Amino acid sequence: MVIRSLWILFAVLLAGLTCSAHAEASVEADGRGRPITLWHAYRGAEQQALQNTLSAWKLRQVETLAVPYDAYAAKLAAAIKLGQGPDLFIDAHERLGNYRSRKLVAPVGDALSDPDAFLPQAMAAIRHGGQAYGVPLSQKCVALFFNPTWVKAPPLYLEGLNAALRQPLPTGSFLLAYENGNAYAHAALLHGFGGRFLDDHDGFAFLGPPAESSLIFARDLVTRGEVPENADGALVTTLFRSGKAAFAISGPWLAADLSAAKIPYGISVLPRLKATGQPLRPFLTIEAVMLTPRGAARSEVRALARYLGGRDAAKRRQKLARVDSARRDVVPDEKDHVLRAFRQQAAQAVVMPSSLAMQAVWEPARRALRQVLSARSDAGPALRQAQRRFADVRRPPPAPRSPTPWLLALGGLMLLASWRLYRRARDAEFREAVRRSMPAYAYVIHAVIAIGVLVVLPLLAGALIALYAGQPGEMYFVGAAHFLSLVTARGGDLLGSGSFYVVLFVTVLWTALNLVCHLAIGLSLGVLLARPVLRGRALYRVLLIIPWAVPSYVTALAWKGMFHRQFGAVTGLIHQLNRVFGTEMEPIAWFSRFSTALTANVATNVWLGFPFIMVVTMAALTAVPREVLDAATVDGATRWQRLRRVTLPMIRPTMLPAVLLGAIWTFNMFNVVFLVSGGEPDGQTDILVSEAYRWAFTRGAQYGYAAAYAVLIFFLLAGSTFFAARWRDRASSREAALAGGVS
Amino acid sequence: MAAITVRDLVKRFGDTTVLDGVSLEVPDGAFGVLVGPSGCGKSTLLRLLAGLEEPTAGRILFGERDVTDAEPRDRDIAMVFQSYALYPHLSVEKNLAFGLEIRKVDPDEIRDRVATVGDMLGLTTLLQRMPSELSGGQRQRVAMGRAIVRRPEVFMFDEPLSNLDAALRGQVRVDIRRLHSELQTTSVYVTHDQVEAMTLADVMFVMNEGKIEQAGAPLTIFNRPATRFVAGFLGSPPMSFIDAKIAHSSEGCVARIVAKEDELCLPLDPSVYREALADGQPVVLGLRPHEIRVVDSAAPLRARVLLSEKLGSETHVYASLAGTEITVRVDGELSLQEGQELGLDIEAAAIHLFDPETGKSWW
Ligand SMILES: Nc1ncnc2c1ncn2[C@@H]1O[C@H](COP(=O)(O)OP(=O)(O)OP(=O)(O)O)[C@@H](O)[C@H]1O
Ligand SMILES: [Mg+2]
Repeated sequence: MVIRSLWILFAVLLAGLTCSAHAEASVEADGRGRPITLWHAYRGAEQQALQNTLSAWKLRQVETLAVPYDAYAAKLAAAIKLGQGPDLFIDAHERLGNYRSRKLVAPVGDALSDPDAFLPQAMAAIRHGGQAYGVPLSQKCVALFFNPTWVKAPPLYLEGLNAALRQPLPTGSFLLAYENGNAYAHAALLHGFGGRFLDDHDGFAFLGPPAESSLIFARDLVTRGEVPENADGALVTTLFRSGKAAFAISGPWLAADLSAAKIPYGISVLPRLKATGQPLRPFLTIEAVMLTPRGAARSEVRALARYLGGRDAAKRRQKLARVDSARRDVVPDEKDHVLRAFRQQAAQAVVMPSSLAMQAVWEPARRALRQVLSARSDAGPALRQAQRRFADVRRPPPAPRSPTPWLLALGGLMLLASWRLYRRARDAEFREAVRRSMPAYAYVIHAVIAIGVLVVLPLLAGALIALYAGQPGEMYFVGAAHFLSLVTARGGDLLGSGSFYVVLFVTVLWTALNLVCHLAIGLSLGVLLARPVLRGRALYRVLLIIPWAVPSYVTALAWKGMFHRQFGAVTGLIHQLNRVFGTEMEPIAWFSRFSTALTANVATNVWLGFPFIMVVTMAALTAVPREVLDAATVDGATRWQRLRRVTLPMIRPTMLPAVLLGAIWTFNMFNVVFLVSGGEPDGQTDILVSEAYRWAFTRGAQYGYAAAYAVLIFFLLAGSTFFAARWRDRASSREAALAGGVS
Repeated sequence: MAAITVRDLVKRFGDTTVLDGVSLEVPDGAFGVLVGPSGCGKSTLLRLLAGLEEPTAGRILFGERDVTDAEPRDRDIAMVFQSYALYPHLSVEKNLAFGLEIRKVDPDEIRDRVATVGDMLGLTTLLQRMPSELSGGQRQRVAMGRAIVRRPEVFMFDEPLSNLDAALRGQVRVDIRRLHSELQTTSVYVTHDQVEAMTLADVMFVMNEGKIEQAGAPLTIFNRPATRFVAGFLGSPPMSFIDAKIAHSSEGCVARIVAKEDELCLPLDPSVYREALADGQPVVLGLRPHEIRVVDSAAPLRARVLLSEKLGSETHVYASLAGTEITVRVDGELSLQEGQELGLDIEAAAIHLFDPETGKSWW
């Protein structure tokens, strides 16, 4: 029966493969008749504008696919490598370095017929080595927003923001709101001081007097209370919308938000710095149509790209989506102050470098910025550390090794295994045993296949990546180089920041703290709620399970908000306490010290995790017979003695697996660490998984190195689970034996 | 040691009244047995005595001491539960020692006392085992040992034998009796098994629906049941009941059983009854199976055999007497056919009379 269904499955798969191969072939043969596929990450008005523009192009049918922005580059790369990618796609120019190095884009050729029609900065952004790799569509950068209620006219100098006010701001309001912990937003200041992130040869340039001055300036803005701390985009929007910030530095998204809400606002180019006399110059992003190698070969695709970059399409976009065109001949309307301001700003912005090295700048720069802003470090040392981090991430990947020794070892192992199998197969008894258990194999084979395909293969593939280096698509074998580099802390101080051992210690500490709190709270509540004396305990149970039912990232973000030093609920509580008791407690900057940041993380994770232990406790308690507790009562035990000497030992065998599971979850609790502290301060609260994530996704896609982390995490967990089980068996083999025999 | 006195005890769980004014007294050193059908409130009464539940009203006294509001640990009692309620995570030895350790008894003394009790109950070789490694009978003995080792003022047993097989039950019953005569500790024993009740009790309390129907020495209760319920509950096979009317005639007082087809008269012994029975008074006759004798079929009292159960030493015959089913106990040798006519003889003094309305006996 099973065998037959397997055959059927096999036949179906085979048929499917043949058909798809056939379809592929027919498409190739008839390439010119194929519709054009276009990928983009637009939403809302921009998406509508794109559809509108495309509907006016009659030459050939265009299929569009809106891909979420976060997954855009990864999806694009994977699809193009598999030959399933689009013919052309719209993306920001700063990804070109990455795309070019992976041969995902081709020069646009005659799609760009009149380069002079485009603004010079736009052309600079898409040109590489004399070739154009995109047709510019629009440009985006930040500018200065002001609230006309507070501000007479935008000032010339940044230092003169105060003087531009009609009257002093009330307490609780800020002069200026911008994402000051974000290196992208800091770029405007840095450029104003004459600094930059990268030099012309992809070297780290966020150093020296200009960089230090920019950091100190940013810090002083916070120290003077003119700028809110740790503001993210959402907070900037909220503060400006609610009139609690006189000025804001933000992009077209804020303009769209304010216009939609009909909130009056003014906008102008960023002011100058009195210190240098130079204007603040933000980073400029050019959105462009890019062609995949396959698309670039098709003339109708190039024609579409030309059309999208053309005057007519640009006008449509400007009218429908209110974006600033990258063309010279499409100028904003005389009355549209917003677009005019952005165009003016773009003219004096700095085109963001698109080289691969830029990817390695963001994280070190952000860390340095936050260190200085929270006054944990002076500008000089913070920047030097950032330089070291940049160099570490940019370090050339390990040299290729020959896989021969590994293959030999593998071959040897397999030989040994087959030899042993052969030896056993000669044993008649063994053969008989196999023959007898054949029917049993038929029953489990589908489960074995399913687990093999769904669990074992991905696990092995992931582990295999740890032996490779390089970008996806062109990975090469490096043997155990990643593991060596891991256990030697990349050649640095074994107990230095970011070393594997330090992160491991933090992870273990994090797990232990969580476990203790989960158990203490979960057990107490479970015991309390299992007692029949409590009124309305069904209600409490539901209420207490809610933290578990809410998606963990939602909870994590909510808790992160509560721990904000200026606007968080915890600070509100402290103020309230101060008011009631007349104390002078200072609000705590939770994420500026290791101890408090870890506390915040643990508090969040305890909130998320105690319901599990509570529910398991309640379930375990139902297995404790009432008569046994009554016997203890009659024997003279107090309530506490009953709990400690009877209930807890009796539920222990049931609780242990749950606790072990909880420990594993906590050990790998990426969401909380990443979303609440985000590793602050300075990566100190990062645990192994979040560190692995950073190597894979924010430090230049070093998947091999990240996979090495994953493999080590796997072995750590597997090992400790094994030893925990052994220890439990030995310590309580007798208790475990009776777990079922309670009567 | 102390006598147990219970006065007007009431226990309600929400709207359901489980105990409805129970009063009883177990003298110092006596073995009191609470017996009654399932759900009548025996366990509840015992749990109240132990302090595991709080009474809604009424008082409980141990000797002179009012313990109604005392915590269980201040009552100095030990209890054996129906499920034994051994601590599954502790060895037999630790199970025995648990109550002593809680009470901070000196470790040396604990060891002595555990050893003594282990000896007494034949548990010495089992001391290191876990409860899950014991048979039902062994667990039962550990549960007993756990109570004995405490040397309490009062022992309480809640159906401690109901999970044992018949043979073992008989043996442990004897053991309990022997232990009690050795220790002389006041005990309260709950059971729904009348054999246990009859054999163990110094003083017996028959309960029904939250009330005590009758209290007294077992034999007294058996011979002079105060109510139709008690009469029916005690005795195996149970007493047969027949509706009848009193008739005064020349031969004295008779009970006339009127049935569809015929009419029977049973002579009564008026000297047995405290009150004179009025002519025409409706009554319920109670006949114990062993007090009906089978005589030759020419006797005036005749019944037709419906079914007979041969138990070996005796046979229970279910027969129809004037349309009412009665049970007769006869010798095991006697062989009877279904439908056969029997002549019966019933001694006047052996007939119990009950009021059909109240169920009270006409003693
Ligand atoms: N905690 C409680 N809440 C509500 N009703 C209860 C509770 N405990 C007992 N009862 C009720 O009280 C009545 C007497 O129960 P109890 O356990 O005393 O009976 P019992 O005489 O011991 O019966 P058995 O011989 O079956 O053990 C039952 O109807 C039972 O449903
Ligand atoms: Mg009971």
